[in-house]
Amino acid sequence: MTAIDRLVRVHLSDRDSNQGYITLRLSLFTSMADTMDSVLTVLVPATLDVTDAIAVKASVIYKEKWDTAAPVSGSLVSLRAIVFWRNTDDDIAALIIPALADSISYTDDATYGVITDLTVFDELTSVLVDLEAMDAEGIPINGSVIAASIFV
Amino acid sequence: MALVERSYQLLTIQMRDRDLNTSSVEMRFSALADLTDFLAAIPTVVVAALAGISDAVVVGWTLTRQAVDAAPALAAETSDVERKGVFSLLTDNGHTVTVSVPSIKNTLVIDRTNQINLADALVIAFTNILTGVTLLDTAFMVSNRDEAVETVIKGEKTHRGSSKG
Repeated sequence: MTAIDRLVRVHLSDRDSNQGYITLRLSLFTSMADTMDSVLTVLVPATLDVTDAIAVKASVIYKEKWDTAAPVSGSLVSLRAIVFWRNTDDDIAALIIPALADSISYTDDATYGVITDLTVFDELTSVLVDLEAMDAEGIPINGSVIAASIFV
Repeated sequence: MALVERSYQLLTIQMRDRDLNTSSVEMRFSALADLTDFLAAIPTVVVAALAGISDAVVVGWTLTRQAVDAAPALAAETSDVERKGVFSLLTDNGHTVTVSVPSIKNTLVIDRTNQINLADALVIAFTNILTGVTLLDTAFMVSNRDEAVETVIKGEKTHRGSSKG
């Protein structure tokens, strides 16, 4: 079963920089941008009329929680892969993937666990390029994987 | 300053291992031409691609768009987020749901009571958003049972910690 939440949240801060927030659960989002526009033009002004705190952040949040099967035996989220892409601007994007699959091999070097077969990331790369993804710092992922290693 | 909308959405995919430890993958997306298509692509395409390289299972994901005030002004001396205005609302199925407003203005509280003046024009403007059907884009507020919120039945000033807003 999948639980879906569509939330809008306004974070408020008082004179002493303590924060609280208002959260509303909505029936639908037509788009994240349109909903944010409504939050900024309707909800935030009306909220500021009834509070003497100030608005420091507004969020539009879509959440899904899944009931999923148990992970495979031996899976370990602390065994992470860090994957690097060189993009078309020659910048380096990186993603961290928890619980590297047991089927992916890496070198036994005591210091570096280098993943030598980078083709294992081809499917992920293809998906991320199609969706115009960026890493967590905003570097576009639109090139090929140039290196990957593990860290624990 | 003012709230400035960020140009991207942050996708956080939560993953769990056999020992119930959790971790996540974070990435940004700038262009969401069609939200419905994008939401459909996450489980069918992104999660599927992750499954090929990770032994953990995906237990959920969150897509967030934010607006942030990087240099906020100082709030009023009277402000205190632990002073909440708690509005109780009734859903179309007779259940109640609450919305808390941190640092509710004291001027909206009826003297010698802790009751918020629901007849005040500013309060009405705010509660109309909670019970209106089109004010927030084309959406309306629902309870955690997905029931439409219809009427405000009470507003009360209370003092409580801000950890849960």
